[in-house]
Amino acid sequence: MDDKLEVREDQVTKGVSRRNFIKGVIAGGVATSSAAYLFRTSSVFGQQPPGLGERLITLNVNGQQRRVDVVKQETLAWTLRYKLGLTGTKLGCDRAECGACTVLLDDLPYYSCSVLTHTVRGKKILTIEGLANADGTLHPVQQGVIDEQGFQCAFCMSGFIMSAVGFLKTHPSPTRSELAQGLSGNLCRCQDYDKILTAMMRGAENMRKAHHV
Amino acid sequence: MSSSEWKPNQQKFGPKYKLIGKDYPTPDLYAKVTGKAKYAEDFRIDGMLFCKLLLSPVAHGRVKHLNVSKAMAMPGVKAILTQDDLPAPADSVTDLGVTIKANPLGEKALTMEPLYHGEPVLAVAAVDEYTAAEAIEAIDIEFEPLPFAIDPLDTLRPGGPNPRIEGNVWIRPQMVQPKPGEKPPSPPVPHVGELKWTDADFVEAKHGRLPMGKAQDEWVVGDLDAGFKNAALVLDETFVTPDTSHETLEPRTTLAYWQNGKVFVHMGTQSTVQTLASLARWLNMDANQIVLVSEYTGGGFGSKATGYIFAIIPALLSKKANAPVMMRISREEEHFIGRARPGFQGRMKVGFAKDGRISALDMFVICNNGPYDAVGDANTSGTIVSLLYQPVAMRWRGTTVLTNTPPRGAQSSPGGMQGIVIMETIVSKAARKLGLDQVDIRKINCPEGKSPVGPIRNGTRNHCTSAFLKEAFDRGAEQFQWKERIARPKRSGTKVRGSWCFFELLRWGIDRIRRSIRHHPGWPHRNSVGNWKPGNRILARRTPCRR
Repeated sequence: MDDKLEVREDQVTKGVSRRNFIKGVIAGGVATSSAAYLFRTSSVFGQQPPGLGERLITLNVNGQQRRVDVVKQETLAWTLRYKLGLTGTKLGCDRAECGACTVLLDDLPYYSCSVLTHTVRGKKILTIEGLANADGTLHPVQQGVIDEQGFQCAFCMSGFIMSAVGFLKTHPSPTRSELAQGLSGNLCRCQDYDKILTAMMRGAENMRKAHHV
Repeated sequence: MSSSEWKPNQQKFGPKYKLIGKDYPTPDLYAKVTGKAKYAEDFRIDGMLFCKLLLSPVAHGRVKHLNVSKAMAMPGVKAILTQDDLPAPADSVTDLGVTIKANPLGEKALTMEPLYHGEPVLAVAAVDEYTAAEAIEAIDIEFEPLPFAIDPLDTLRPGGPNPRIEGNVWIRPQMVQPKPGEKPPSPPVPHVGELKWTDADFVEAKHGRLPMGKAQDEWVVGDLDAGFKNAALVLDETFVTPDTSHETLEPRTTLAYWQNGKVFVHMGTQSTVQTLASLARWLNMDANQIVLVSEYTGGGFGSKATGYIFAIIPALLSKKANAPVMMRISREEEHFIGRARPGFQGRMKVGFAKDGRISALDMFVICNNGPYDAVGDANTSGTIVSLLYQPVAMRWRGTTVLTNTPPRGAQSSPGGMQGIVIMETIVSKAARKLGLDQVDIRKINCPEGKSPVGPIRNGTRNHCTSAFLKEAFDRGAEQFQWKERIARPKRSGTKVRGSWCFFELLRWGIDRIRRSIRHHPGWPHRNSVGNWKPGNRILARRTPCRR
């Protein structure tokens, strides 16, 4: 992760609220697509509808400047997974409920399935692929998972880890219940919460030891 | 006790053990924590098309009219798959060489007579999902609604609607027993028939109690009447347990393509071997011509054990369109096709002695099966209840009823969980009424040593080879400080605090473990369980049993 990259003030979009998300979709012109509405397949978001052009933008992803063509209604999860090859970010529900798609935007956890890509220009996007150092040294929270053998199927894992990393940046010494509260936006269907919390608490400990925060 | 506090017994599992009792990271973990682990939707193939499904808008109906020409003419639409494109399902052969004939009434990947709302009717492959979804809308299709039933009791009523044209229950014809030394014959193919109860049966419903008409299956052990007659307390409870979706976090997304006559299928599974066999049967192909890729699976809980029939949709679409096809399944679609634990409606009459010992137990369950292949939950619930509560006398009656609701499947502790949920509530109530401790009443009823299990078959009952639940209760109560906790005042200001005792069992140990290695002509030894791990790390909870 490279903190030295400069962010141009005029590129920063203020907040990515539900209101802004919907406004953005409307601007894209396909929110009322009867296909998406009828079938409720929000997964159709992000693919080029007939007659709507793409727009080349630059994103700061995992410390790198990435040029990518996006349509206006494209979600960040789609861009990351299908355009930038960053498939570590998972789509579990595609409707802001499960948290499997969580990434950090300027160090804050967001559901990338519910963030429009064009609203995050200028923000620092961090995904699970960008956590470890270039030499392969794992982030302390990733190492916490290894140490405690957290998770089972792990489809939710990258979302949990990103939420924990975001939370621990501002709460470096949480109690177990505080961390549980901090991770309450993420679901684990394997119901492995006890071990996940243990792993994340170990991650917090690792972070403190490494003076990561 | 959190996992970090548990330490392996180094004395018992000393240096000669490499894995048991040792802490070591599993080899899959590094790929998972770095995001490099590839689940089915994480693969990309050049020229990959996307597929969308047309789902039934009715609970039961028949396609009266279908015209796909407008959709096929749309730019970007490459192929449309319907029931007519599906191969006939193949027979299967068991490890013992017995042929199981394909059932024409079994579930299909696509159907022109949908039996539940959300059942896939046809599939479209296009250059992207948006185009595929637009094409679905352009399809001219009309359904003829047919009678439907979503509650088992509705269809059991006299004159009630049938969920299928043929009836509302599966009928399994009597199996011809082979003579000693002879190979078992193929079991007869089950068919769907009709089961209706009488108006007299439904009188009970007016009193808020579950009616109990003719049950499909029944078994009895011991003297039930004597057990109730001598009981100090008899509870007769009507209950309902919920249908619960498997809801795997990874949907049933599947990618398929063909190379050199072989089909490559990327999908999630709990057992590669069992899923390969299923794909071969559904595609009516030699298993050697199928390459199943399942590097990681995002949860199964029983619903991905033998694969899922919808995986053949992208495989067949890919052949038709001559391009790789990705079928992404949305969360909503997953609710329809992703299986669920069957809910029970039932009635449980239990007699307790003064000390809490169960003297008689009369169990009646109706299992909501959905429209297709029968689940075994009703049967298993009786077996597990007989095992865990060791009633002196017990009768079990069960009926599995078809409905126009999403198909059910085995979910962690299938059947057992429903039975335990019902019994735990009743046992707790009995403890309160008899003034007994919640742990003690469970200890006095739980299996120990070679306790018997289930019905009498061929003159004998199965039994445990070992059971240590009493010790588990003692250790659990000690660690939980049960006695101290329940002695504390329950009310503190505006807060009311309670302690609860509950136990659960996974019916894995009864028959799964001993079959874990199977032999097949022409195959090397294969682990028939395969990568049976996703979401199922609870083996430690099993009670070893012998069949």
